[in-house]
Amino acid sequence: METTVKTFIIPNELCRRAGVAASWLSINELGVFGHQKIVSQVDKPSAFAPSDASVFQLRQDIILFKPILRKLVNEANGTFLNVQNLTATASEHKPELLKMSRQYRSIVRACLENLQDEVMRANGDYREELQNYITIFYSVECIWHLCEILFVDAVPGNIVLPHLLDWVRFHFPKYERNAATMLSGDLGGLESHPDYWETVIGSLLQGRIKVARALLKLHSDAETQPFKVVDQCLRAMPVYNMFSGTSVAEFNMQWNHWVVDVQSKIDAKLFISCYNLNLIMKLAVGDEIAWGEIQQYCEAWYELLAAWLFFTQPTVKSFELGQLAKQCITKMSIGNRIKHLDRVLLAAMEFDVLQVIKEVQHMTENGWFVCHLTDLLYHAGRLSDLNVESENFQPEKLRESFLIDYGTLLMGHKSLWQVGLSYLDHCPQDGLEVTKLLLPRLPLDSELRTQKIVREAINRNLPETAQSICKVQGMVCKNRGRLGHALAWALKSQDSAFVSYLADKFLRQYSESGNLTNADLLDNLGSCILASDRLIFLGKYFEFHKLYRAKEYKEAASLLISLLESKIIPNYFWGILLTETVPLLECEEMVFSSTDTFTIMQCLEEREHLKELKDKIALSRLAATRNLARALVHEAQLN
Amino acid sequence: MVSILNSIDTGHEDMVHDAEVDYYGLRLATCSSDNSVKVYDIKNGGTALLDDLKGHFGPVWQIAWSHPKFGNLLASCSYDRKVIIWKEQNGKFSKYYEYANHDSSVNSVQFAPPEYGLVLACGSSDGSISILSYISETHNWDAKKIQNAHAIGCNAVSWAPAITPMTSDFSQSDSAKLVKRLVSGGCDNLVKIWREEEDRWVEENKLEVHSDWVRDVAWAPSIGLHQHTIASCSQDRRVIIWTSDDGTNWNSTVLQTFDDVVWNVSWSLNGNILAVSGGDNKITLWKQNLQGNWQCVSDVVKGQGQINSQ
Repeated sequence: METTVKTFIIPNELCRRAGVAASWLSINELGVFGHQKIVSQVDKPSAFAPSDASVFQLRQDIILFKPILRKLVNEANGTFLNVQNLTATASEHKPELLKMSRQYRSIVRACLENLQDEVMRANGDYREELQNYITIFYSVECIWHLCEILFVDAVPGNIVLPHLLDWVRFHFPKYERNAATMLSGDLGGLESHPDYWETVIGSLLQGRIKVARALLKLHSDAETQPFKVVDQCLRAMPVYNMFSGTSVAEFNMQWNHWVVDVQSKIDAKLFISCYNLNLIMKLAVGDEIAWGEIQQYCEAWYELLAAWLFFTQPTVKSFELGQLAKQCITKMSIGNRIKHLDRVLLAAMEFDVLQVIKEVQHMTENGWFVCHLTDLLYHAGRLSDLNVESENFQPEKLRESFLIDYGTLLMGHKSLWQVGLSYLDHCPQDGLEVTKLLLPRLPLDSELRTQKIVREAINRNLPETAQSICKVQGMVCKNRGRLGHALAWALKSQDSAFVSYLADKFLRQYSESGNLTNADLLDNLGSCILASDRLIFLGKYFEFHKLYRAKEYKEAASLLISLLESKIIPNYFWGILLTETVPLLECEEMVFSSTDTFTIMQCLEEREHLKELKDKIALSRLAATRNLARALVHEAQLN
Repeated sequence: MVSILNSIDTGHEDMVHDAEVDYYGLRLATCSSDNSVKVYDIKNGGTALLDDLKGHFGPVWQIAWSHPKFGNLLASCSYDRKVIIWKEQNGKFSKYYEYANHDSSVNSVQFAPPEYGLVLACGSSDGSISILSYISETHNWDAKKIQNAHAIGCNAVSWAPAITPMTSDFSQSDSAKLVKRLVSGGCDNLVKIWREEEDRWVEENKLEVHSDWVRDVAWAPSIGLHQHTIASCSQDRRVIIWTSDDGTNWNSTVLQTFDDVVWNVSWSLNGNILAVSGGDNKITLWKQNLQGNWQCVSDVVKGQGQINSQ
């Protein structure tokens, strides 16, 4: 691990002189500034004053946040979710898992093609940056493909060579491309093409016998004896096919037979007239010198490996690959020049899954690869059958740690946070806890976004988190003077003190202006009204207004009485409420009974000291008395 | 690779002692030996000065933002023995509450997790820790004091995350009571854990490993219910990670002995990465691997005297 620690330098004089301090800013950012603790505190400028005092905002480079890679992030998320669904529902999911692995690879391929298109148009630093991404994702594709063959695909009989050849052909398409051009062009005399022999040999090394034969046919000497014999030999070359019904032992016998035959022809100097033909046949029988010669045609050791196996051990089993790979590396004497990609591929061939994961972690695509690959290998059961020395190795923990890192990284992005969440969702141990910590930290830029965040919290059964976010949004609305919105959020936050506070604001606003705003909201409170006493009062008072405006005086009056009898009237509102009784008392139709009127009169007596009633009290008393008279007469008549 | 997204020239005339962003990372507050606190809008990579807060008469050591559900409050503490709580209204900050009941420099302020309400802890060179709680009914602040928390002085305080203690599965989460805890570090080389019991604060643990002044303590955000983690750093050049399964019994692991004194420890938002910084001009980032060992994942080094030549 120590060797992978990287050091980055921030050029700043104060930092150098004083030392530094750092504090986390947001999910992916760190703030760094020059700092030294004062050991013996005194009230005077520090030893560094006056000094420039900069705070550096640092972030790991996150290439996944580049718009050009957005598709990769989003599409891989789709496949990731499919993998989770699949493994959650189906018990036997191996064949499907292979499909998913291919899906991931085609996403990487699409991304590479996209990058290649873009690189054509780009220039300068951006071009270099894109080239860099291409290198990264080319490696990703190459490693993923091999891992798929070795760890995800169930290769019948462990006969891995055909797959390896596919892999090599895919990643070294040069010879195939050249051959196609040559074969489609003018016929005959192809040897004049400068790449002719390289293409013939290259095609053979990738196991494309037919292509090589077709190319040889287009040589102007194709009708001479050596060419004819070579063609015969190549045509007769046994190729193992596990579905042909031939057993490995039978095949090996045929193979040895063929090799002896070819060797005898070489010994008889049948091909000596043409250097390249002789070379080809020597390769076919595994002649070390010949193989030494053609190493130059191979860009990488694994290209040589596949070719070497094709001609010497066509029935090689996958578990033998590690040893043979090492031999190839020695053959090419590149042991000391081995690069990161080589190390990962070698580890894969040695079936050291953990080493693969370890190496892949240090690739600079911010954990995209290691997260998805580890998840896939986990579901393919490749992590549980490991012989790991450390006793407490838990495959699910390994998987989860990468998912959490990746999910957390995406949570730090303005528009990828929901994608990030979906990874945390599939971390059974700590995912929800991390969500609980990170979700409320998402800035609430707009009401729409807040609603989205709250919905995600509710979907994950995190009511406290949802409520807390609603409360914050309510505060924001309140500070902007948007009381209606604030109240709506406060209700969702189920914070009754906050609801009361806002209901109070409404009532005060009314008592000052005579206007009740946000009628819609107040009209549709439903059972939310129970959130606080103050809100009940506000709701009921609003209802009273509505009835009054609709000229339903009787109903309005009885609601008013029940309000007066209740214990939830704010002190500052008594004046208003008692004033409201006057027009009803004076109403043409009698709406208050004598009992009602007594209630009003009692309230009037209790509150007569109120300032705001001072000039209205006489009028109120008069109205009440008159109504009482009317009511008593009326009630007497009824009895 | 790491890149400098933004280099914020704070305009302070002397050294910055703390830089903290608000809950959402949209505003940055800094405080300095020039007695001032400044607040910047750093949304979308910009740097716009929102306000320059003048109210302290000595170097300002630390600042802390409240949870946004209490409005936008910022607390600052200073050599002038005062703690000031500032309240924002339309981008401008005004003094909301001043606490002047310490006998010496106040070195550290931290707001408690919002689950406890609006509560602030302050650690002072007079050796005591104050806990200020806002009482919403009376709109007043209630202050409790832990006297003689650390001989010679308290340098840092940090709150434990609000975790409901695990009780039997039958009990409702409402009925399980949250226990308030905080950790402090001081000039007596000790790290202490405090717990609120009824109406007072008691010393729950005294963690003795450091051999010089403890400069910073940080209680990690909690993932999973069962483990508490605290990081402490000291002038003895060591960072120690303290862990506990129950909040009462603590184990210590020395993260590393550094080349110079360590001033600060800071946990990332989900507690998975610890940033360590100090006199050796380095910021190092540490992460726990699956075997539970702490590994350095990256260095950020400052200096080399490369002053911007532009």
